[in-house]
Amino acid sequence: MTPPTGPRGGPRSGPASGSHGDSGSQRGSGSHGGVGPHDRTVIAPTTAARRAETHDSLDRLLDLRRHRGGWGRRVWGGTGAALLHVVVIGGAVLGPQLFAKPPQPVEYVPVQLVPAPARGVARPARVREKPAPEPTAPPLPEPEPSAAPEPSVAPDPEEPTEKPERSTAEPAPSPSAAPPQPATALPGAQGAPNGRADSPFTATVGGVDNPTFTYGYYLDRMLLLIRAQWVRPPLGSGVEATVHFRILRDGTVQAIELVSSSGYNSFDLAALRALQAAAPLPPLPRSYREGELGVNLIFR
Amino acid sequence: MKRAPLHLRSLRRGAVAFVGLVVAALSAVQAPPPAAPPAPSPAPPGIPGTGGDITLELRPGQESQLKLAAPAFKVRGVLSPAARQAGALLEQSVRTDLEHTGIFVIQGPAELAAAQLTGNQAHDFEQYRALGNEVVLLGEMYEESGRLALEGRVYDLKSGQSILGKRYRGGFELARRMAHSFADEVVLYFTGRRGIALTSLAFYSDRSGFKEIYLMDYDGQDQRAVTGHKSISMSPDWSPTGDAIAYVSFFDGKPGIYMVDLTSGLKKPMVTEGAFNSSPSFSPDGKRIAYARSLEGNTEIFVANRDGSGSKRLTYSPGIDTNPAWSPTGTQIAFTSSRGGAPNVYVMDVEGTNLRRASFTGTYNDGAAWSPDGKQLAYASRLRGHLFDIVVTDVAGLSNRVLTGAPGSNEAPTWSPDGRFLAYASEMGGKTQIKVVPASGGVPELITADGNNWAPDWSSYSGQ
Repeated sequence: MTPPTGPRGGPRSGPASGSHGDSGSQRGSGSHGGVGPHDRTVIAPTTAARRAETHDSLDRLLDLRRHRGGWGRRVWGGTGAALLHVVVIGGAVLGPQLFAKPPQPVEYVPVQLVPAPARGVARPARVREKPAPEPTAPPLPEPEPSAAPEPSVAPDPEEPTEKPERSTAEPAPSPSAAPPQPATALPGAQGAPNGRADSPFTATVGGVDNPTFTYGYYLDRMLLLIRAQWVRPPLGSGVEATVHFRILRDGTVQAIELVSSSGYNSFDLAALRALQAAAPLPPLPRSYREGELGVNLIFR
Repeated sequence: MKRAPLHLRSLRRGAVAFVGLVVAALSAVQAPPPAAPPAPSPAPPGIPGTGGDITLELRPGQESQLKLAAPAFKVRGVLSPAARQAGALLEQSVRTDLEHTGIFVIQGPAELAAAQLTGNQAHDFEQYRALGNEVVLLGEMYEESGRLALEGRVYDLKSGQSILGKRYRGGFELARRMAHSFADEVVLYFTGRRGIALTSLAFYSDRSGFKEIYLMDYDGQDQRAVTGHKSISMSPDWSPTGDAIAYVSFFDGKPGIYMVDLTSGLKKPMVTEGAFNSSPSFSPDGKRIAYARSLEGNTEIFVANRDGSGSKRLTYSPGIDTNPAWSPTGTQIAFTSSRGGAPNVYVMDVEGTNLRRASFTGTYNDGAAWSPDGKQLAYASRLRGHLFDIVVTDVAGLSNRVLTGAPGSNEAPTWSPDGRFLAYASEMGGKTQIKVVPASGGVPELITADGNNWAPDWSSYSGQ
C-alpha cells in the first residue's frame, strides 16, 4: 500500500461504486398511516428501476420499428430485389416528406411556447381556436381521507403521512384566484411583472386538451429536464418530431411513442433518447387528481 | 436491464437506422398501411382517468432556477423550550438543504418582508407571486406528546394548487433528519430525483492521533468515527446498499481489506491474504469487490467475492495498477496504471479486457470516480507544477473540464449520488480537508475542519 496509491501516496477507494442504487427501501417510509394515494410516491420504484422501465419503453419502440422493417421484408422480399431497390431509393428521396405523416391521428392544438416577449400577442388568438372549456371550477383538492389515526408510536421520523386539507379554514385559493379557464393560461394577466420573465419557456399552463392540468411549473421543469438531455441535430429549422408519452403519478415515463416523424431517423432517435434519458420526471403534483398525464411533445 | 456492450449497441443503432429507412421507403409506396402501428393508444382527451393529453414544444433554451418563496414556518400551539430549539434547527436545516441544491432561488423571511401578508392564503400567494416567486414552501410545526411534528407543503403560486404535502414526526434529536427528509422530497418534486440531504460521506481522519474511518452527513454535520483500531485505517468504500463500508487497515501489521457493518458495528476481514491489499471498490450489486494487490513489488488489480473468496487477477502489466473503481453499470473498472510511463486512468471491462486509456490531461492522473450515470469520470490530475486538480472527463467524448484551482492540491474525487456534486480532499498549508463543489463548476465548500481528512467516498442514496 505504499507508493503507488494516490497522487500523494494516500490510497483511496473507488468512490463511485454503486452510487446508482436508489434503493427504494431506504427511507423506512413503508408505514404510511392514512396516506392518500398521491403521497405514495415516496416509496416509488427505485430510480434504477424507473430508468429500466423507460429503457423498456424505448426498446419496445425500437422493436416496433424493427418489426415494421421485418414486415416490409416479408411482403416485398418475394417480389424481387430490384423492386426493393427502387423502393428504397424512392423512399430515400421521398421519405422525409412522406414518412412525416403521423401514423395515427392525435387530436391536439399545439400550445405555442413562444419566446417570452412575443407571447403576449401571439397567444390569445390561438387559444381562442378552441371553445372554452365549460367553466367548471378547477378541481379542488378534495379533503384527504383525513389522516387515519397514525401509528401511535412512530419511531421513524420519516413517516410521511397525508395531511388533511384544512378545507374550511383555507379554501384552496384557486376557484377565485385562478383565471376561469386555466387552460388558456394567459401569462402576464395576473400582474406578476417579473414572474418567469427569464424562464426559458413561456408559462404553458395546461395544454388546451387538458384543462385540468394547470401546473406551469411542472411543464417548465419537465421541459428543462428533457432539454438538458437533447442536442438538436443540425438539420434545417423546419424539421420537427412529435413524441407522445405518459407520465405516471410517480414521474415514471411510459409508452414513449413517435407520433410524427421528422423524416430523419437520427432526429427522431435523438428526441426519443433525450426523453428516455430525462426520465424519471418529477412526480405529478399532488392536487392533480388523474392517474397519469399524456403529453405530446414537439421537438422542434 | 442488461445492456449490450457499447460497440454492440452502436451496431444495433446502425441497424435500426437502416431499418427505419426501409420502413420509410415502404410506407411511401404501400397505399394503405397494412397494420396500424400498435400504438399504446394515448388516451383521447376527455376520458376519465387520464385527463387528456397536453401538447408542448421543446426548443433550445436556457437553464433556469426555480423561484421559491419560503416564509417563516408557523407554529401551532405552544412549544416547550426543547421543542422550540429543535424546531428552529429543523427550519434552518430545511432552508440550508434547499439552498445547497442549487435548484432554487429562495426568498426567505427577510426577502419576503416587503410582502403584506394577511394570513389569507389566496392573498398571500398573490403577494409571493408579485415578488417573482413561482412556488411557495410552507411549514407548520407543533409538539405532540413530546415529539416534534412538521407539516410541510409546497404550492404552485400560479394555480394556487398543492404540489406536495408531507407530515413528519419524531423526537427532538431527529429534527435535522426530518428536515433532510422533507427537503429531499421537495427536490424530488422538482427534479425527478430525490435530494441528497440524507446521504453521507465516509472518509478517514487523523484527528484522534490515529487514522480512523469516519462518517459525516452530506453537509459535514455529525462527524463520527466508525473504526477504533488505533492504527492506520483508510480508503473507505461504501457498499451500494449503504449497510457496510470496506476499508484498508494496517492494524494487523500489513494492509488488509476489512469491512465494518454499520448496523452492528462489527468488523470482519474481506481480503487479507497475500502481502498487500488496498483500495477496495464494491461492484454495484455489492457482491464483489475490486482491489489492488501487491505481488513482489508490483501492484495489480484483482476482483474477489465479498467474503474474499474467488479472487481473480485482472491486470498483467509490468507497471503499477491500482485504485480500481467499479462502474455503476457493473461492466467496467477504471483504475490507475503506470503502464504507459506516467500514471494515467484506464478503463477496462470487468474481465480485464477492452483496456483503453481515459485520461489525457496533466502529467499524473489518479483516483478515478465514476459519475452515477456512468458517463463521466472524475480524477485528480497534476496540472499546476506538482499540484493536483479535479478533472471531469466524458468517458465517450474525452472532453475535459477542470473543477478546482489554486490554491492547494486537490485529489480523491467522489460523486454525490445525484451526480450534481463532487467531494474531494484538498491540501493547503500542510492540512488536508474535504470540500464539496457543484459538478457543473462553482465555489467549493469546506465541510471538515478537525485534523486532516482524506479520501471521501459519497454514499449511494441508501447509505443513510
